[in-house]
Amino acid sequence: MTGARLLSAYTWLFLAVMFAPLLLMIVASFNDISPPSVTQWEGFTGKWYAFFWMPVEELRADPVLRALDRGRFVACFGNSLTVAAVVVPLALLLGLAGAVMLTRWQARANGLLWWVLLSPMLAPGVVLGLSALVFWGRLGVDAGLFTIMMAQVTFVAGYPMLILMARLQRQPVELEEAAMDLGASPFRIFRRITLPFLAPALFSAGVIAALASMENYNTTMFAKGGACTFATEIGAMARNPNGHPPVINAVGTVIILLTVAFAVAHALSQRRERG
Amino acid sequence: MRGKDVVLSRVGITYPNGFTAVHPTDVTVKAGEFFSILGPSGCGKTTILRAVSGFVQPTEGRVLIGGEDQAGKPPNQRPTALIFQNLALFPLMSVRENVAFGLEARGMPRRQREARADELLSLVALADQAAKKPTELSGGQRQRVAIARALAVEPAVLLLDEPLSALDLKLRQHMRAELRAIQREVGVTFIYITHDQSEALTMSDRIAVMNAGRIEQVGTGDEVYANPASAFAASFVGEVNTLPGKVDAVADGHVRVATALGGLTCRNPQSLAPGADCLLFVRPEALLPVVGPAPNRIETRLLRRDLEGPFVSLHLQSVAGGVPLVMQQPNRGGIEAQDGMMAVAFDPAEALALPPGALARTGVEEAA
Amino acid sequence: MKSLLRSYGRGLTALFVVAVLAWALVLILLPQLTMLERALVSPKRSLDSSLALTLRRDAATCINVLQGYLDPAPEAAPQTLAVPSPGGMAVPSMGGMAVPSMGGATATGALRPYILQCDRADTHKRLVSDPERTLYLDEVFSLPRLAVRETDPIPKQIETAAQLQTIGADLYTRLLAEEATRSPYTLANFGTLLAPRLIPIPEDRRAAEAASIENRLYTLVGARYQADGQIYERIGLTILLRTLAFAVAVTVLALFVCYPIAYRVALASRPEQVVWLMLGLIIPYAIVELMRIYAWTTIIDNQGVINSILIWLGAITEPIPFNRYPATVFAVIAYTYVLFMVFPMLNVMSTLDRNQIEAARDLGARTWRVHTRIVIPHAKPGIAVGCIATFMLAAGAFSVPRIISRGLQSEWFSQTIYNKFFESENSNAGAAYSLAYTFICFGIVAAFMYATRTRLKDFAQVNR
Repeated sequence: MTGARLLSAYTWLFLAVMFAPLLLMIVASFNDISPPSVTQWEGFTGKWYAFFWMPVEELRADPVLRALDRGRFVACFGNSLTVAAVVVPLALLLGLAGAVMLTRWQARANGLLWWVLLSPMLAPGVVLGLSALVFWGRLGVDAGLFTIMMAQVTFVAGYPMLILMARLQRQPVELEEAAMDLGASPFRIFRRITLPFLAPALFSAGVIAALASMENYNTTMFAKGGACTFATEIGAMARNPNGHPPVINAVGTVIILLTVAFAVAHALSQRRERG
Repeated sequence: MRGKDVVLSRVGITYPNGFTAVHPTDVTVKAGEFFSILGPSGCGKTTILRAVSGFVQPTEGRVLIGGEDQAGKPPNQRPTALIFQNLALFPLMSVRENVAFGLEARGMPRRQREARADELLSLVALADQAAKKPTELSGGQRQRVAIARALAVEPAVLLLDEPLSALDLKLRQHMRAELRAIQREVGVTFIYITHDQSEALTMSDRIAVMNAGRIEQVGTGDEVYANPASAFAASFVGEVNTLPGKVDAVADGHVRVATALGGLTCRNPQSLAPGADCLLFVRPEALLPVVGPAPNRIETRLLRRDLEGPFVSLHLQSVAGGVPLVMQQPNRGGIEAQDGMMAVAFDPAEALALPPGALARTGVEEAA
Repeated sequence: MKSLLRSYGRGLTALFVVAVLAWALVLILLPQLTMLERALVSPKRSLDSSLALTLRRDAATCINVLQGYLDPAPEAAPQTLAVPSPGGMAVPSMGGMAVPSMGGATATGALRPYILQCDRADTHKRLVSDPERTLYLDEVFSLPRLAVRETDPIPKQIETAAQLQTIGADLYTRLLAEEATRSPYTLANFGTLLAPRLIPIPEDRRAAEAASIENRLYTLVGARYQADGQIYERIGLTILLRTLAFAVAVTVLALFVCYPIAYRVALASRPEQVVWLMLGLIIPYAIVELMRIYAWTTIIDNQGVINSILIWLGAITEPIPFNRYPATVFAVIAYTYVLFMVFPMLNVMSTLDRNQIEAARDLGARTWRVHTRIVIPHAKPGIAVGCIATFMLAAGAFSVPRIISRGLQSEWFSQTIYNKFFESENSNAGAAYSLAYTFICFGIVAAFMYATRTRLKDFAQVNR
């Protein structure tokens, strides 16, 4: 009994450690001091959030905020969306193709294909960014959003592949055979039977791919050239010798709240499904 | 809908790993017939079915449906429809969509194919369930959806791969009658795969008994039951007492066999010659208790009496040779053993001698 | 291929094959091959021929500029001076990066103002092709030792420069022909990983430095040694070893921290509790990695939570500079990637039938035995995959050291790769570093997989 209670206490402690920095981050995002702090309370403020929409004059008047380039920040975020918009569909396509080939292609080279397709997930992220940069540079493509996309797709496609593979393996072969027996062409079987069966997995794989693309820093930093994304821009603020501006805490808070909202909604919907 | 005949001409199937699932086989299934292939699991009956439906290419011989060679035709171009053991209903489609799927694949417009699907659903008494998902139906209902879905493409031959095996006994018995009725109504050729002999016996026009990749006998249920062509057919279809022995004398279509219980007389359908090894088969219901002298009289000891409802099974052991025997009697009482001893006999016309061969590994003969 | 064609038809199969080929070749294999090529060739500007070319160009520019001083109108000179040497930026170690100073003659006796190109027009140039040794152009290729001396009269200077121009041009054509026939491939870039660098340490601190465990281990593996009374360290190697050691330590720590959590969530909770526990794990897992790293700065900063509490308690008077300590980076990396250990374990554990545990208990097994005989064998693929994932993330960590340490402490190896590639003279060495690191990490993972009998297919089963 005490063992179980000890385990419970440990679990809650672990969760507390996981959440404590996030809570501190949220608290600091409302504190009127830069760099962010929770111990030195200078008064409640929403200006780290208002940074994104406050008028220019007000922005110029603030000693901390005026050093930041709002336009660039927004542009970089836009770049991230562009990158994700290309990376996610591409990753789903490659992931699906990889999953199909690995599960259905019966050949001796199958084992080799496993290694090749999984290797980007096992390689250090920086290596992928660097090799994309060098490879496309050799082909005359300058580093920029394109190399970022290529570098990201290389490993992001692995997530859909693993997810779809697990799902494909659970698909009964009889469903395909039954459809074929009823006269359906392979393409119709894929569209009417396989794709609907994969749909939930495709959706969650898409969400995971989008998150992976948006938050990726290590690979992107190496492939970006002169371009920027949301993650590299956030990362660049750490280089400020006086510590980063609390605007980052504000962005972080929004991300945390969105994540919590999605996760809770997902959990509740799953519970309802189970009845 | 019109059934077509199916002819397997020297069809043999060997897998790439060298295992021969089906030895060269000749079978003709008549148009509009309810034909069962009966055999234990792993005997190759499903492989034959998949060869007819096109999922497996025979390594030799030809499959003809309605006189047309099916070589090289994929499953979606054959006039067959297959009902899978697990039914393989599409879980994400409604019942109506399931039934209409084959028509959709043939490019029939939505309204038309849904009307046709509803017609078929009323044929299987499911008209009111059309909008539900297959998972919301009961086992028997799902069964009927699978049948309707297969019939929708107007196949000439319907192939059924043990579709009743997942149902409980009561439902299974009910579905047998229903399947038979549907077959009569639509007139399509049914090829039905099963390992359950009572299923085969109750539904089929003809039965093929299959063992180890070979079809051992084709005939009506009565023929197969009363006149099995091989030791395997005799032992697999229905229960039977198997007595090994040697042919002693032959006369007039009958034979005298020397067994551990002494000399016994029975029919000799395959004209065994004296001196040949043989197996004597006698059904449990052919054994009768006797009081006075009788042909084929056997003195036995009663070991156990099992009540099975309408009849009782008596487990006996012969006094001579100690051979175990089973007899079945209607449950009317009056069968009494005297001090545990009992004399039984059987009519020579109701037993037969066959050359030795593989036996089915179930039931009574395991004890033999 | 046959079953693929049967299931998906010609069109879809072709699409899948093309997509997989594109992924495997264009995105994975060819980039690594390009990296290999890049890692195996010397950078162009480090070739001896390009040094000869620079000499020729410098001499030519020098003549041009000096001619301005022969002219009666020397004011025209400044414009000509600004001509940048094409080789000027390429060999920064050879001279200043700066445009010639306009201050005019500075050295005593100089008959011309300072002209960078004239100064560099000298056969006594150090070769850069071999960073290990100090070699000079004139000595290696037996050229006359010649330089444009600013004390010479200007016509004499022009004459020397003209000589240098010819020498440079001749040498350039000669070397170019030689280099064309010679294989361009060299392992020198990989060699830089092992190149020793002198560590200037004052005598009085040497004993203390040498006593540190880290340095003793480096000495043991030969990454640090003493020669000619000086301390040398193979910096690339020590950073590599240090990073790998930290990554292994993070993995082991994560394993022990996570096992009870995974067990608790997967096997020792009521179903309705599992939903909320999973939520508690998924939320921090899903939050953008950078944000979780930034969240730590509030704790470890000089004005952060820890320092403030310690100061308030009176334990310290000056804040502890946590971002200078490797342990901080270690802790934050562990925090950031620990959840990648939890989920694979948890997913596999939750497929274990709880009745098995009950049965084992019922048969008298103690907790320890239940784990070693039932839970761990079942969860092994998940544990292995979790270890591999955590190790690779920790070994490849770039964001954490960059944000947390702010350059105030020794690098993580990914940072070394970054600096080599983007901020050093020889980016090809960066390619070599990156490639070497990939293979070392793959080797470690492969050895681990072999030892634990993990198959790649486990990755698919573990990620539900």
